[in-house]
Amino acid sequence: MAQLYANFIKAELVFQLTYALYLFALLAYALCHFALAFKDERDHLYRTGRMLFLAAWLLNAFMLIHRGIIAGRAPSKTYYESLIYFSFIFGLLALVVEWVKKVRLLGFISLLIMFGALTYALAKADIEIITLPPALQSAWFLPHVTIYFTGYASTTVAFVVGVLALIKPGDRSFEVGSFWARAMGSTDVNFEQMNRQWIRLGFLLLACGLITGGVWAKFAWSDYWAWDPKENWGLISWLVYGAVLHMHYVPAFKGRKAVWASVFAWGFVLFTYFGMSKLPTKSQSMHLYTEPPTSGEGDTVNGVNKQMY
Amino acid sequence: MTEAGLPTSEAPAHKPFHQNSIQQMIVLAIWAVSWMAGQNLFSKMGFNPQQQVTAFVALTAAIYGAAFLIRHDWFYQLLVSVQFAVSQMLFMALAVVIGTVVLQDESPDFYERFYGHFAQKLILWTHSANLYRSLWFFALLSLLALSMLAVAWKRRPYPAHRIGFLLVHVSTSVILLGGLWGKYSYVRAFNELRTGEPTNTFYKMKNMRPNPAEPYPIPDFRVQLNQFTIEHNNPEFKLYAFVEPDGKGGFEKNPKAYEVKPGLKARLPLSKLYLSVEQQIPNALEAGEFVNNPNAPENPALRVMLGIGEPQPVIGDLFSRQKNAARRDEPGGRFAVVYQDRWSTDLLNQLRPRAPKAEKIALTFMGKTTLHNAKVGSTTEFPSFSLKVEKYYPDFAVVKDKDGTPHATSRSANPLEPWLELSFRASGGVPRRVMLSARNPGLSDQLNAPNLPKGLKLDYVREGEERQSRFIVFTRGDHSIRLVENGRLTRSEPLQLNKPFIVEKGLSATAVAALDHAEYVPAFVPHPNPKEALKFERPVLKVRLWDPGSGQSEEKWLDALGPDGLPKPETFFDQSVGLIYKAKDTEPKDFRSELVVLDATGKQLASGTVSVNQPLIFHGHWFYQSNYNPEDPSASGIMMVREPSLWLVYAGFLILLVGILWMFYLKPVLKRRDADRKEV
Repeated sequence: MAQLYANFIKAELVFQLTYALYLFALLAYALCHFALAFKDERDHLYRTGRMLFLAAWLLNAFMLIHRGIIAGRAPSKTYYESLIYFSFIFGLLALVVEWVKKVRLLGFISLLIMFGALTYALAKADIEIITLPPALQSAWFLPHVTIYFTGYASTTVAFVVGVLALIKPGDRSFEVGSFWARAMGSTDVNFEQMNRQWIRLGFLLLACGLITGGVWAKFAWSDYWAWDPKENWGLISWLVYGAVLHMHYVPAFKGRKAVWASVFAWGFVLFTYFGMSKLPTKSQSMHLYTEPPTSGEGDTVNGVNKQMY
Repeated sequence: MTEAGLPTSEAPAHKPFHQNSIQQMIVLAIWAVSWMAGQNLFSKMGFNPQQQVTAFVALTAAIYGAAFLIRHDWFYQLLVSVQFAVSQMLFMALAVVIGTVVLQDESPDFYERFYGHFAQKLILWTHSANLYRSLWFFALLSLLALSMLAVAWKRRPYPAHRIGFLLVHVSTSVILLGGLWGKYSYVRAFNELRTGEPTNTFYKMKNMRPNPAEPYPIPDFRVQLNQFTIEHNNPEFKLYAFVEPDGKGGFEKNPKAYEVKPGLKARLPLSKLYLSVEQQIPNALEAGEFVNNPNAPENPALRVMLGIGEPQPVIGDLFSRQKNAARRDEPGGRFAVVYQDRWSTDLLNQLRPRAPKAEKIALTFMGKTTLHNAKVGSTTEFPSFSLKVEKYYPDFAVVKDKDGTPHATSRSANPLEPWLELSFRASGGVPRRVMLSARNPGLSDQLNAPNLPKGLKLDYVREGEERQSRFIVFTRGDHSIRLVENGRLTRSEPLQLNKPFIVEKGLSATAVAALDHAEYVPAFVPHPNPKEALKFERPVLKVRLWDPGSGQSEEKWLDALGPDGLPKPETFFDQSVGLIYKAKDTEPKDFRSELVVLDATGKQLASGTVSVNQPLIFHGHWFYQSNYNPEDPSASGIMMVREPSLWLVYAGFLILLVGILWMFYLKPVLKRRDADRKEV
């Protein structure tokens, strides 16, 4: 906690503001749920939460664009940058879904995820803007990363909706006016179906990401596929989502089991994103996020470590 | 029937195999293990990797064919079962996971050390060390592709809304077919190109290293490097403050970065201390010197001025207790000065000319150097050539015969100008003469250039040789100066500061200062040339930290590019704060090789700039910027890749994407349209 506090103090102002706004939005959502438990509607609290969510996201967007302009490239080199990027894309999707479907719990879980992402960024604290090594200076960088992150964000929405689908399966409806009925929104949403739609979008985008990455890698590293751990985990999570999509057609798995599977599948996406530095094969990966140097002996970390430069 | 036309009726109490995931997983495991054993058998039979793949393709085709013939219905039902598809995808994912946990393509020794003996045996037997090229992995892939083809067959016919399904399920086979074709046709080779020297020969790479024994000649053109350049980012120097250095010289992860501006003054985060930049010099010259600090540890130093016939005398410091700084050779090589605590016969014995301890031939090829025997008559064999040492010339010279033909000879037996004569013979070629000079390697490189393959460098190395014959020895204990010539003490005088010790006319050494506790006090001055002074070539900062509470303050220089090119960190206030002034990033921005493609007559067919991310593509050959030689700016490492199967793989990618889009997003539209039509 002390380290997080120290990093927060040292962070740039716009990050501090965004982080604080996300926290306030989260608190507003938490409070309006708390109020619901006491049969108190507190709609103004919910509306405030949504406005704070929107404001935090706008500031997040500003931070992203500002940083992109300063760096002169897509801000996705370090964990810090990529998590800001992720919360921007996921925030957009979650905000739209929340706004359209008005599901309080969806907004709350989404904010929890975004707040977690930014806290992780703060813990990593690789704030310094780093010049891209030659292999990343490519027109493919922005589309590849954007497509992939939209894929990550879609599967994250699928995860959130999946959790909601577990609370409220398609055939279940809550007593009107109860806590769950209010938390899950006034309109009757089929979360199972939504879960499946978002997995489909995620599946398409992850495939697109893998393929754009392959075409880029052919130009940069001479092979469209090099069995790099990150590529492999991209493939693993894609295969797992492929399996989940097929489960809907298997009598033994369809319905609740498939939803559970989609919730677990998100773990593979998380590991693809964060787990690479934990793998024993990390030294064989060209895809590690740049970590800040641990000593001051002038070591600029290259980030693309097995590559030829 | 569901929307995809699959039966959804309740499964019977006893599940048939094509609906039983656990049984399916077990069978997939047996299928994989059988192929592990199969590959081990192939290895024992002496098949090379490509033959193994061929045998695999033939055998799997036979097995699948036999399964279709013998148990047609059962096999077909299995292949088209959705549940089997789920099992296969999960099993495949698990297989890919293994390859991300076990380090790939390491040596058996490595696995023994890293994982232990038993695990090493297991890893090697299961081919987990090169999992993605193993036959069991291919076996899983082939089964998956076959299943997808079978499903695509089963779903016939294909009205418009079903085309997406067909494309997705055919795409994997297309991609895998492309990959299989690549197994037979892919070539990766490397050569270090030199400016102005066209070549068509690249060396095939094995484990990302070029193998000199496996040249790959491009059949119908040559490539030539016109220019190689390294482009650097404009360095941006920043000041980094670490407020919690751990006191071991290490610095915590997240520093506060400051852009250095004149008059920068800031309060350090999480600290009571203030920081200010007192002076910033973009291009500094070192003006620091050793001073005697009685509080510093003992470090005897002697400042010596050499008179060597130059208008400016040469001044330098000698340190009696620092092995590498106790002696300096006069720039002209005529004598050396030495500072020692004590005079001894051991010291005298060391100061005499010495024959080399070992003589070696250093062979450098593509950045890798190996040492070989330099004895006359010895021969060293390499995969594609041999080297024989023919003659040794201790004091090499070229003389002319009566008829005017020059030939090599030795003027004396003293090793004043040692050279070696070698013969170099490429496999199947005639021997060529190669001359190596120990003292002047640049000259022999020039002489040998026409006789050695490109990129191959030979050096004559004489280890542990002492060529100096004259030493001036200053000793601290007895305050003496001694002259040692050819290992004999020839003269001795008391050591007096500022009194020149004359070796001979025009050669002298004068001790100008003696420090017992020498300590370096850094200081910097701006470059005296105003044009040079503004370039950021040796940026330094003088910073001050102070505590307004106690009034204490500390001031230090920060050097962004020290003598070794690295920034020098400094700590302040009992190591509670660390500061580094350094370039934000030192990565080169890009590496560029200007390449031209020439035909046999030298006519230019194509040209282009090859940089990272931007290969030159000509007639199916992709040329990549691969590396460079820091010692030879005229050379550039170029990797050549041929992959005739690439278009098929890309076609597979495209089919997959179009298929998914069609299936998920176009199909509902088409189906709605069909339904509307029916209603009408």
